[in-house]
Amino acid sequence: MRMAGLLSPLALRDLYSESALGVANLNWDADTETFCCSAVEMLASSLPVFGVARGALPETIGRSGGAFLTENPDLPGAASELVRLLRAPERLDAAGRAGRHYVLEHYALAGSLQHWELCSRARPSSFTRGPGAGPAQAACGTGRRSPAAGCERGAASRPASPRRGPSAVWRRTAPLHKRPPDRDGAHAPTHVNVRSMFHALVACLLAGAPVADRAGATALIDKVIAEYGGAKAIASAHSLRQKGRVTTETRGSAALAREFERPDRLRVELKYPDNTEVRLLSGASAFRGGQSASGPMRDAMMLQAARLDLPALLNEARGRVSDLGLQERGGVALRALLVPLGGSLELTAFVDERSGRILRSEGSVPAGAMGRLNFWTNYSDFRRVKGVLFAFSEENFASGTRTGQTQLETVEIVPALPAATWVP
Amino acid sequence: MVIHGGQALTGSAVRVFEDVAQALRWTGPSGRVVWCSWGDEGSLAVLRAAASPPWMWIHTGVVPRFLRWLERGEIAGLITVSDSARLPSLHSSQHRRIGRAYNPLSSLFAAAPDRTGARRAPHQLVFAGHLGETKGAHRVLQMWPHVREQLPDATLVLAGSGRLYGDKRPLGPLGVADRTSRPGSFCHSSRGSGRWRRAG
Repeated sequence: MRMAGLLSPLALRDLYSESALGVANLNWDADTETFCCSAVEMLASSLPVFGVARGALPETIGRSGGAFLTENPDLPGAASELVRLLRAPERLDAAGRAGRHYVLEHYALAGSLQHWELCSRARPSSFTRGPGAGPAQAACGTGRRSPAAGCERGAASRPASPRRGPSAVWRRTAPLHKRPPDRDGAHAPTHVNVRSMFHALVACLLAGAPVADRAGATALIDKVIAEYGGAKAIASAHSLRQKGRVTTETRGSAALAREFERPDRLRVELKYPDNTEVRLLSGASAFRGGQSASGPMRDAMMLQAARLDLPALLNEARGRVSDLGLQERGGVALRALLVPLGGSLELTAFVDERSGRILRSEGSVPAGAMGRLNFWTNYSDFRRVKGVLFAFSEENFASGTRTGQTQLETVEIVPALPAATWVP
Repeated sequence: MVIHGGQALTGSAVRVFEDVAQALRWTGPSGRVVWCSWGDEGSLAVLRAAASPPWMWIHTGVVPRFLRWLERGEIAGLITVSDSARLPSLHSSQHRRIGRAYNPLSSLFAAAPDRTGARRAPHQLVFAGHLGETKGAHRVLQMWPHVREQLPDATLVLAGSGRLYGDKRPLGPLGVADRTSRPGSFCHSSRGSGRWRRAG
């Protein structure tokens, strides 16, 4: 072992160039890593990186193809994995190549400078126009996307892409989403209606967005519905009461009581040893701890409600579902079905084609300036309740960071839930 | 742009000022200040007095103090370096003024020759950065004996310092952490304590 001390960037680059494997942040006790410049610089030097799947590492280098991130706080296990890698130079070489390509594309100086330049041109008035008129959003409003900044505009103003279907209503309701700012930074509350759907559809067609493989998606949705108990049984499971435990990365373990009523009512009560947190969604209204919640917090609840109702949602929205084809998640090829939820929300169900089970969902919500927040859930421990299939285990991630595990103990299908359930 | 508390960037296009007041004079009334700071309230007071709420560009997580400044209008916006860093601040009423800009890759590394497939020391590992708990340097040192057990010719190069983020940090004789004597013989005392102790 050699302590090289502080090195100049050039000396550091040379060191990376002659080494076989870089070690990035190995702090698995806390999410302290917010970016990890050294890991990005290692990858730029074609040096693959070993680290932990904590903090920002899954987000910043986790998808580079050059990073090996372990999730288990196990020193001997991590050491064995390191040794395995060191004994596989071809694997390291391929990872180094992929990592270099990724960071040169995603963290190019030009992209970042473009973003800061856009920010510098934003008018000061943009700061005070209202919620959401932040500096970076004003920069986004010029209509260009900075890859380095992750500067994304909302669905209403985004050019159509294969991942974007026409926007549609959030289930059967029209929540009061705030649309991302217009070019001049102004905001207007948006009810998603037939007119906006028409405009989105026209924009989609004009942009040449590929038409989804409806037939393939329909057949797969049929299989999903059959696997989950059939359309009739799923329709009957409109009101649910679930109990279990949630283990979060930041706050420890809590008793969970979750109630859901189709289409858009959700109450989540988390009892931690020292306090209780209640999250409530009722139509367009959301509350957290008795206080009104808006923006990403409310959108995240909407996503959670949609996730709980995924089989039914796929069935109801089958005409609007986009088939994104096979995509690899966790080493498994899953078929991705994108469900537009309306406004700027979207949810993708990842289906195992063989079983028809939804093994993962990915959703994203707009989160103000420069970007969207992504929420992923992995499903397992499937059990049947009154003929309807439920995943009793959920592993949750937010923007690449593991946020917790939900283990259900009971799932009850009830005729209805008391009206008081939905009172904040 | 003001890089407050930054080191002189010779040869860089970024203009570095000695203090905030000097930068404010240079930017003029229509200028913007990007305040890249770990929370030096002294310079914030200067900016407040000049009625020039800055954008705060942080490389840490969003701590409650920063949120308070944002909610009181003392800073115009917060820019983090990853979504993970801004995620815990979603509950803020000002969440829409919290943005993210990934750090750009240093031009030195961006211009590095492609070393893919080049000859490398086959069993050499490198760790770089702050040699402290937040970067998991202690875990690397704890893991190292397990690596050497299986691969005796493996080598580890540690580049960096325990004082990378400040020269007042208490360090042990190896410059890694306080209360230590030799690597591999200590462990982390408890979650979040920020201290070290000898094992056993």
